[in-house]
Amino acid sequence: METIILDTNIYSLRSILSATFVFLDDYYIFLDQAEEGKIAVQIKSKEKEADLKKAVDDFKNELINTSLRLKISKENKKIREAIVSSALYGRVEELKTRHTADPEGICIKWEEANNKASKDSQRICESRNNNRFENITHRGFNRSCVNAQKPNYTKMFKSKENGDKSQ
Amino acid sequence: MEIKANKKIYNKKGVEKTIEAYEHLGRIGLSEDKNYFIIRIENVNEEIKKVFKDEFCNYLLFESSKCL
Repeated sequence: METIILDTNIYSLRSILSATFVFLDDYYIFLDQAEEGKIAVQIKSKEKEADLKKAVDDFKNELINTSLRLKISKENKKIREAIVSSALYGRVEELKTRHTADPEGICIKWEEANNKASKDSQRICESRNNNRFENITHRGFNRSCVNAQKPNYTKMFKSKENGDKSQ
Repeated sequence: MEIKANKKIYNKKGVEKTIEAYEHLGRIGLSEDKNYFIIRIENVNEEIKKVFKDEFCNYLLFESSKCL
């Protein structure tokens, strides 16, 4: 069995626990407090002929690895949260405020922005509206034609039944 | 058999969960003092007695770090 004494000012308890996770499959690990601010890590191999010294060295390396990972995740915490929150709902809010504010006047119609066009001297808008009305009436006419062509099945059945009775 | 788990490293929830997982293998009692959870283990099968304590400690470590 090997014992390592670690300073909690250098390695946090969280990083020590994360490092032990990697070794739980092959080694028995027990933690205890050595002195104030120091943790003793006892490593014992599950197999009799295992190289414990190598395990201790690997553990120390893993400790540095997990400490660095935790440090980076702490540093990037705000950025990570901002990305996630904007991905979930922040983007929608941003779009809404952009449309309502409209500082560059993008949402204003061209006709409203230019007074000349609203006068419509050449009566272009009027003719367009007329054409639209014609289209609507034409469509309505087509629908009535289609309905007229549809066979009335209920009528047919009724007449058949009546015919059968008469026969 | 007795295991003393430091309160600054291991937490009560983890200890309780570990006892729950291992209680079918023996009689396990829990008490605590100022700094330690004291876990007393009795009536463990001879075949597993050798590894019981170590396996229990490993599981305790796993559960405690999960509850951190």
